Amino acid sequence: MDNLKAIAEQLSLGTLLAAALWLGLAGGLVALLRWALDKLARRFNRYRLQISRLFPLLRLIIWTFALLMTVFVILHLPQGALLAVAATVGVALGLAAQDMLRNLIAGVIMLFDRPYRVGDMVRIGEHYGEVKSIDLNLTRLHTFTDDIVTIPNAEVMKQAVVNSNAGELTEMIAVPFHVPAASDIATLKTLAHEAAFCCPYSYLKKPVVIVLEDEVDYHYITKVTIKAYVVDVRYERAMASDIIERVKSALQQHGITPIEANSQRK
Amino acid sequence: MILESLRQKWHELYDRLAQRARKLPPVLLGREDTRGSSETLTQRAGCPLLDMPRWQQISARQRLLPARYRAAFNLAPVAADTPWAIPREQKLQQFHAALARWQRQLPTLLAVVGPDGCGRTSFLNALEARLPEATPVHRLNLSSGIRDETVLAKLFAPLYELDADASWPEVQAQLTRPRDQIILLDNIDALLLRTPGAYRAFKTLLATMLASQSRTLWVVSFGAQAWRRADHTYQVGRYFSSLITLDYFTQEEFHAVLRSRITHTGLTLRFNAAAPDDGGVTGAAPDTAPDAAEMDAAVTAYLDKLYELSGGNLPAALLHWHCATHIDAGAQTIQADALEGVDFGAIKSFAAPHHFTLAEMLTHGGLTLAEHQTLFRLSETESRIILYHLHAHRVVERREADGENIYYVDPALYTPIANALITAHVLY
Repeated sequence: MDNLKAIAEQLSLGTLLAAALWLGLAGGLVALLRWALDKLARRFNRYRLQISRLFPLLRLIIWTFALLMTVFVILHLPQGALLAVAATVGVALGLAAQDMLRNLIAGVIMLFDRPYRVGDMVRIGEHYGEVKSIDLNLTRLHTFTDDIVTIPNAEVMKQAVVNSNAGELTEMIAVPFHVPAASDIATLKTLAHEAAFCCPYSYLKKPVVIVLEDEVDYHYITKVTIKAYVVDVRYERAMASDIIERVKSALQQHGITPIEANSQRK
Repeated sequence: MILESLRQKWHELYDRLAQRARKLPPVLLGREDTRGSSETLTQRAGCPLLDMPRWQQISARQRLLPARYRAAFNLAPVAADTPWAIPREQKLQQFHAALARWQRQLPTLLAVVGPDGCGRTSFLNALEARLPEATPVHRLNLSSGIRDETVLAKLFAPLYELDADASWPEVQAQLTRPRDQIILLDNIDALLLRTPGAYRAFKTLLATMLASQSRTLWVVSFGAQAWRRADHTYQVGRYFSSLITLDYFTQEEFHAVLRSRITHTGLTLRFNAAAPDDGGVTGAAPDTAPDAAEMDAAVTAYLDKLYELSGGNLPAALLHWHCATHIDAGAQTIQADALEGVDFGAIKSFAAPHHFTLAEMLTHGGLTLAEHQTLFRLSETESRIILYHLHAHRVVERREADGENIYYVDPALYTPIANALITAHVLY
């Protein structure tokens, strides 16, 4: 009670307004930073991922600095009283908002541990998409169906996360298709290689690999997987679709009929 | 201690902000236009790309000009004996070293690589003029897109007096027959289209070059982007034993080239009254006769500014030159206005399909409508929209070859376009 009284004595309308103004400025600075980084990322697409991943860290720094300044400099709260009140409030909050705290802690850990960064293509649980933002408590994914999926950070920490590009702008795309096992292997490999080479989105600086596997699906079939890199993760679906289109048309020209395998039907 | 000093700083900042806040309203009320005159801004930002004339317009205007001026100030590659041809001696020495190696019957494949507008064809002209007379020399220019091996066969068949419809294996057999010959292949970029046919044709030509390299000296010219693609896709870097890398002219070469062209016209360069912030070019009034030293200094300053704007890219320099000069036939002078930069911002703002189109044009040298359709799997109308849009924005030019329109990147714009595409990670 004495502690609260000591804190209340320290506050005045002027200091409260100054604190609000200071926090407002910090909020404005964060918004300005987001706008500037977005603009920079759009302008320099090549460095988009590096620029985007600066935001979460810079935001944390700005808010931490703003809060410390508000508490210790502008409001000038007595440290002893503040610690005592913070401990009491902390226990209460810890009991009442355990999940939120868990998410916050997970968010801070993720800022340094970095299982993924803004701009990465990740699979978390059943969701796959581009990481749009990593807040202190939530991660937002932009999926290919144009949905924004919000996942609590504590949930992310509990499960396996598949990161397709790990901070790179390019990413390997695997495009599988099935053909009768009797098809000419050399022709298949050539067609598959050409389809990847001719796709305007394929990143030719990295190799194109063709993998063939025999499978049994009532009959013997051959599974051909084209593994090629996309020039920018944002064209992932466009590239996969383009390669499938090219492969289908090339197979038709050579009289080979692609098979829909059971695994594809599921 | 730290907290105390921060607190002090905060109070100082607070007081300062409060003082400023008291002054703000009248300042804000009185500020109607803080940007100054739009004229100055336009000059700083440079003229928009769209306002630049097209080469067809420049050529049309040139028809009325003296023949010597037309000959000196055009985009055509320069023959070795032209007065303003600049021999790149250091690069030619590299060629002589490769030639000596080949004459010792060591396998030699020579690549000449450089960005569009750096003078690759002119360099091949200079190189051809220095070849030993005893050895048969064949010069081929792959100016139009090669879509498969049959087109390649047609190209090489005349060298060995084969029928026009000779098959590629027949032509290949002739090419790989041991005989001393030199083959200059200009503009192999035409083989680097992203189509299955071109892919196979390039591989088979590469195999042929490798098979015949100890008796045939292959000199192949690549655009800078084409070379990169060929290296990524076919690892050509490991197969070519010699590489001559050309770049845009150095400042000295640039001055020499333009001065000799001006001299060739027989006209005198005169400067109109210069703008106040034209980068330091001090012009003389056209009706006064400056002394020779003064005039020379003014020409040097003008060419320096031209070099700064073009980066040594001669087509870019010629474009600026044509925009800023006109001929006074009566006074026998070239009247030069102040040079102005160009605003290339529009290139960055194009959408991804336009950027990908430009990247393919830069790599392949140009695209026809059909090639664009095949490459991007678009309908004819969709391809037309993209190509017409780029053409309308003066980013690509159009020429006709074999009854087809070929859209290509203006070599004068090579650097800003390549830079924009690299920044967008469409070129790499």
